[in-house]
Amino acid sequence: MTSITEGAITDTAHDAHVSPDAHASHATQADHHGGHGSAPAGGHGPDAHGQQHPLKLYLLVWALLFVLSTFSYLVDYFNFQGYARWTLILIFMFLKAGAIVAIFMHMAWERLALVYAILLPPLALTVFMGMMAFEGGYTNGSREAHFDAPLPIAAPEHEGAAAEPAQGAAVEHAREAAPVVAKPVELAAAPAAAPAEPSKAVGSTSGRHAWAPEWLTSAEPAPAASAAERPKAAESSPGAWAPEWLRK
Amino acid sequence: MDAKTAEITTQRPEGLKSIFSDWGSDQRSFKTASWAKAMMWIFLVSDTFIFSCFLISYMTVRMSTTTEWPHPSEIFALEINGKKVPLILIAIMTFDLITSSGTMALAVNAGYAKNRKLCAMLLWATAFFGAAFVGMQAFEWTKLIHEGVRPWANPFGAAQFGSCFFMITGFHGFHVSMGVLALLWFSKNVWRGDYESDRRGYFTNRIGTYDIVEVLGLYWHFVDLVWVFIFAFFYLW
Repeated sequence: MTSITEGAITDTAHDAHVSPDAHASHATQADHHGGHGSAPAGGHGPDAHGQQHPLKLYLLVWALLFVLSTFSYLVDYFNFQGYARWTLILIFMFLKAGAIVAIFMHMAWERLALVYAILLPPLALTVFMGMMAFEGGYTNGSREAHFDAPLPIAAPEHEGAAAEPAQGAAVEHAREAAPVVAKPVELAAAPAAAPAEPSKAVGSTSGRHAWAPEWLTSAEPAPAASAAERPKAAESSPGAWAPEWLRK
Repeated sequence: MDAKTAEITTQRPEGLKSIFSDWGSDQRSFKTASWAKAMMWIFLVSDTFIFSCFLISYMTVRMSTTTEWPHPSEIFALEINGKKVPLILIAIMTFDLITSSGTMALAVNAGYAKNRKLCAMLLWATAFFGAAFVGMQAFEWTKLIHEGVRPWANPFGAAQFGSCFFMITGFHGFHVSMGVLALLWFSKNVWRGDYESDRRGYFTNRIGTYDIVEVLGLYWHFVDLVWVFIFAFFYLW
């Protein structure tokens, strides 16, 4: 029974926060109250549950953030590699994040009911991260094992060879960039090829994607650009087929 | 807080016990946080999940690609006095955002001290640094787009670099931009003395307090917090 009464009183006082006249007593709360732990209630403002803390503390944390950021940057500047790099990055990252959340976002002075409600749920992300790291590693492993040629889907060897002397650089680009660019190169090398069946050669059974259905392996040209424009585009940079305003 | 409430609140259990006690069915859970603050925190948790999805996707594609990942250190280098300084633009952006976080923290402090002019000026300073950040990001995007980086391809290595870059920094930049707008909006209220004259809010029609500045600060510090993670994982890793 006592606890119910207590709760009721607390909540009534709490509601005063939104009432218009709650401001009056606020001005007297200008003095700060640093140094207390998880019990900010004692001595705090009436309406605002005010979070006023020593200016010095803010300036200190501010300076600390600058120093830690500098350290983070120096990790790159001095080119640390491998485990040293990752460890240093993570240490500085967590120190910075901790300082921001605890001091700037006042978590250090909130009651634990709020702290735990906010900070615990994101821990579920570590599980998510673990699962995706596992999957990422697996995908990488299967790619290493089964992708023997440079990605992505490239035209079969004989076609590539035909195109090589004429526009070797373009073919290289096309292979690196995207399947949609690979097609125009092919067209340029053999302009006489019937555009009605562009996927026949690519999806031939000899290729390493022979298992895939034809519609998947075919490098269908993008409908936006006309056949005349595309070969020209493939000669320069990978994004060269993009509209003019996007390129420059 | 009047003496009576203070007494009751301080009488409440501390430590682990306080969690169960505060979450009791007869209690209001967040005793020291206004509803605005609690709601902002809950929004920030949801935002944490969104940014985490981006960063975890980035981790997944970076781990699974067999093509070499581009070196951010070189890509984000700038030439200063004919010398290439690695990652310098990102370092400047980081310091800029930290500066804005500091001015924001001071603005919250000034608000609770009822120093409305100082508070408003600090909010403007925060908005200025935020806008500068967005400006530098626009510069960075322009530079990379000119160099041929696209969401689907780039000349430096793995194609996924572009999609991760535009998605993550774009979403963060959007947050900063919205924060700048919010800062300008609320700084106007602070400057006018709304939180002392009991003027009602334009959208809410409710009387506000300097609590609002702190809640705004939570959002702004969160944006800085996200940048800490982006800086570590995307630019430094």
